[in-house]
Amino acid sequence: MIKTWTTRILLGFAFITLGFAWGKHSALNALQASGDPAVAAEASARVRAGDQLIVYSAHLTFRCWECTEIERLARDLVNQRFPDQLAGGVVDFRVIDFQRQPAFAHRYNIVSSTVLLVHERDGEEVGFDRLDEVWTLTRDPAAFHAYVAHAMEARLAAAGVIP
Amino acid sequence: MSWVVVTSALWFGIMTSISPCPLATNIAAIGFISRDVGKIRQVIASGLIYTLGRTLAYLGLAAIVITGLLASSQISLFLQNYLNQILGPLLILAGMLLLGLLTSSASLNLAGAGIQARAAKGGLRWALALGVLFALSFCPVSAGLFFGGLIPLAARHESIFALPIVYGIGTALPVVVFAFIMAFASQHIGRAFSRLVQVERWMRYATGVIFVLAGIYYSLVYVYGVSFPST
Repeated sequence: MIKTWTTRILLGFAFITLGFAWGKHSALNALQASGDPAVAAEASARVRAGDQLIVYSAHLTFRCWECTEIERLARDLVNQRFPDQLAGGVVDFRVIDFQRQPAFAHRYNIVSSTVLLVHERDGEEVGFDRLDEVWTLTRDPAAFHAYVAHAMEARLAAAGVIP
Repeated sequence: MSWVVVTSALWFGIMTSISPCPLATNIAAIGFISRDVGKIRQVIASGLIYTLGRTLAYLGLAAIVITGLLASSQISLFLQNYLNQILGPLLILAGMLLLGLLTSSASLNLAGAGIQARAAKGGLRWALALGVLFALSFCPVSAGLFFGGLIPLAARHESIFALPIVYGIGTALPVVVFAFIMAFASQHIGRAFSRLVQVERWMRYATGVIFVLAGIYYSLVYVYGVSFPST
């Protein structure tokens, strides 16, 4: 009796899960095909004249400890080391779920949670750096900050924002 | 290619294995490899074949990416989008097979007695399949370290074979070592108390239960979006 019901419950759960996953993907694909007007509106509202360095903390929908740590460390760095540039809008910090934005993921060849620097001039992309080594530095905040800060400073110096 | 590079690849693999996010599949693999308590040769062979499965999967992926057939992001997103979601129900069904719940009298007859017997017996092919499946079930940590760490390293050193193989061995190493320790310890306890047959049976049941629990965990996290603080 217990065996029969355990079997039925587990089988039911397995098949419902498969059906739910299928339905979720169908809905998500339909949404992506139609485009997300909120995202587009936000992006156009943020276009800035002159040079801007956008620091993206890109993550998957499922977030592991390292993924949230990457975002926290990157956010801390931007707030602590680049407060003036952040206040002036030269540096912008954004968080993006790239699993829901496949075009974004393919554009920058993103494979997992990472930090991405996108340099824009008058709203047009000039260049970008994908900082994949953050994965090996999540347990060493000083090295993480040094790595990301070095890449940011190089971009800002190239733009003539900092000497 | 220097030893530093090879050690880095091995370390990437070990880091992948000991991080919390693939913990559920690692526990399932440990249970699967170590369940033949009384047959140490079988345990060792199972561990080696499981390692081979993981290594082959990484080797194939590395070859596809490095030769430029597909971009890293395409494969990574595809596997993370789909495989992890299928993995939950698959683990539940595999666990049910190991527990003997899927018999011909079951309300939904998915597997015949032959399949069930083979699953319970645990042929080495299952260890190979499990290695491949678990290797391809990328979570953010393994995707980050494989596609973001190992692949650039292998491309830089033009190593389609050696570094992915070392990485694959690294990902299996902690699991296999722990499984061996479990099997040897269980055998010792079983012999000490003259209860080897009972210990073997309980290890098989435990493996089935672990598979079912891991499947439920994967379903909750990757399909239903439930978040657990430790992951």
